[in-house]
Amino acid sequence: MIEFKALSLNLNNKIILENCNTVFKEGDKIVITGDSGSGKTTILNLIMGLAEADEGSIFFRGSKLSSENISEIRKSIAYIGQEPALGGTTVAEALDLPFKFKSNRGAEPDEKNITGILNFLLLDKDIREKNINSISGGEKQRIAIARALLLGKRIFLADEITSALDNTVIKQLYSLFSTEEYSLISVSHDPAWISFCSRRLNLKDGALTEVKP
Amino acid sequence: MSETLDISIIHLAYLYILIFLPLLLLLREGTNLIKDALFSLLRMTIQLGLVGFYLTWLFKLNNLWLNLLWVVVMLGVAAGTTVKRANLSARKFIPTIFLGLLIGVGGTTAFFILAVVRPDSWFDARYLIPLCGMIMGNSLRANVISLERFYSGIRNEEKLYKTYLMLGADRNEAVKPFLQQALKSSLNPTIATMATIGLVSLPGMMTGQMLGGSVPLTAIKYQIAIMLAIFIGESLAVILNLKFSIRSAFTPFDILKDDIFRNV
Repeated sequence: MIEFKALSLNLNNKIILENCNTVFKEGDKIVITGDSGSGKTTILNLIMGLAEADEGSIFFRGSKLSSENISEIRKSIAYIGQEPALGGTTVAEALDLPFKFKSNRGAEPDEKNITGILNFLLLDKDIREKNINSISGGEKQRIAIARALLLGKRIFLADEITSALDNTVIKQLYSLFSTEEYSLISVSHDPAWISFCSRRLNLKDGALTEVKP
Repeated sequence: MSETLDISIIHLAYLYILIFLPLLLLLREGTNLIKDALFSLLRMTIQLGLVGFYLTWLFKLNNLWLNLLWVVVMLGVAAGTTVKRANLSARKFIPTIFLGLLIGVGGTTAFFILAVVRPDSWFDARYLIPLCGMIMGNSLRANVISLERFYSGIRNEEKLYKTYLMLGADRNEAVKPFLQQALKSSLNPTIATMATIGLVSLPGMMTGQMLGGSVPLTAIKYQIAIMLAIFIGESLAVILNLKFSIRSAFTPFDILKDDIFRNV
């Protein structure tokens, strides 16, 4: 699905990746571990085209990441950070936001779909009336996940998402991501999350190495 | 109508004496404005004095190429001041901002002179220089605000901008909220001025014309015309400068380049 070929990146005189060759397969549940500041989030940014490598290439389903295909690639990927920026004033506006963009027009979800996803993520449907500044970090994460599901995204990049979520919600995420149709590339320090993932890659001094369970 | 009464240097100096009254009061209040005020007063006197001499010479010669050169110099200084105050890289933005001002301000001034004022010679310094200056002065302020708000807005809310990209927005859609905010902030002052002009204060151009001997109705027609021209010129320049600058401010992957700012 995603392949790093001879990828190197230095940021602020620090080696993040050095001649890295890695393949992320469709349906993989991957967790990237490593010390704070080692560049784990940067790897997620590289996949989304939000950071650029100094050398090497990234391939997405066989096509090299380029200015021509980056929009299409971004459309397939959901990024969920610790404190997501939602946009809009209310939760309803935030959920509706992507459907204002040309590329998503005509794909607006129906009410049943929205309430079904909100229920699955243990969110009350009345949350849609709330101001986004009045909801918690964990709720913001769940709204961001709900929005990605409404958009039909199947590849999730998750950056330390368990820190603000309680166990019942995390269990729901395990059940979601354990299905074959979803691919997961995550960054985490959480032992439970790490043990849930089927592959673990450790980032240290620019090398991304497979850790056998 | 009578000519404007000239002010003698001695009589002008009376105001320099009177200015000591507020300065003394400020001093008594313990503010540290005195030094700044005196420095600004000196600069204003020297700058306007020099411009006075230069414009006298320019008006006397009234040469097409000299007048146009003066306009080009004004555009260049305005472009330089805009990038500096908007905290943007001079190398990257001066050419595009110069072009935006040339079309927005230069084009509006040309239309104003050719279609509205219609003097015997279109490049007459008496019309070209002050009209271009007034439209340019307002456009400068609006352009500084719009460019500064737009680029610092994206930089300060980088996470939100990137979220838009990840949700399927193309670059134009992702910058739209920042563009709308920049346009509002930069054009609101002129829109507010248009709504209150004449009620709160008599505008400078109209006052100047009446002091110069024009009948109030002529002065008002000029004032309406210049307000329209200012709004047209500054709106065009602001929109063009934002659109032109966007072309060189982002990477091919639609990420804002770091080196577009003066102080990275």
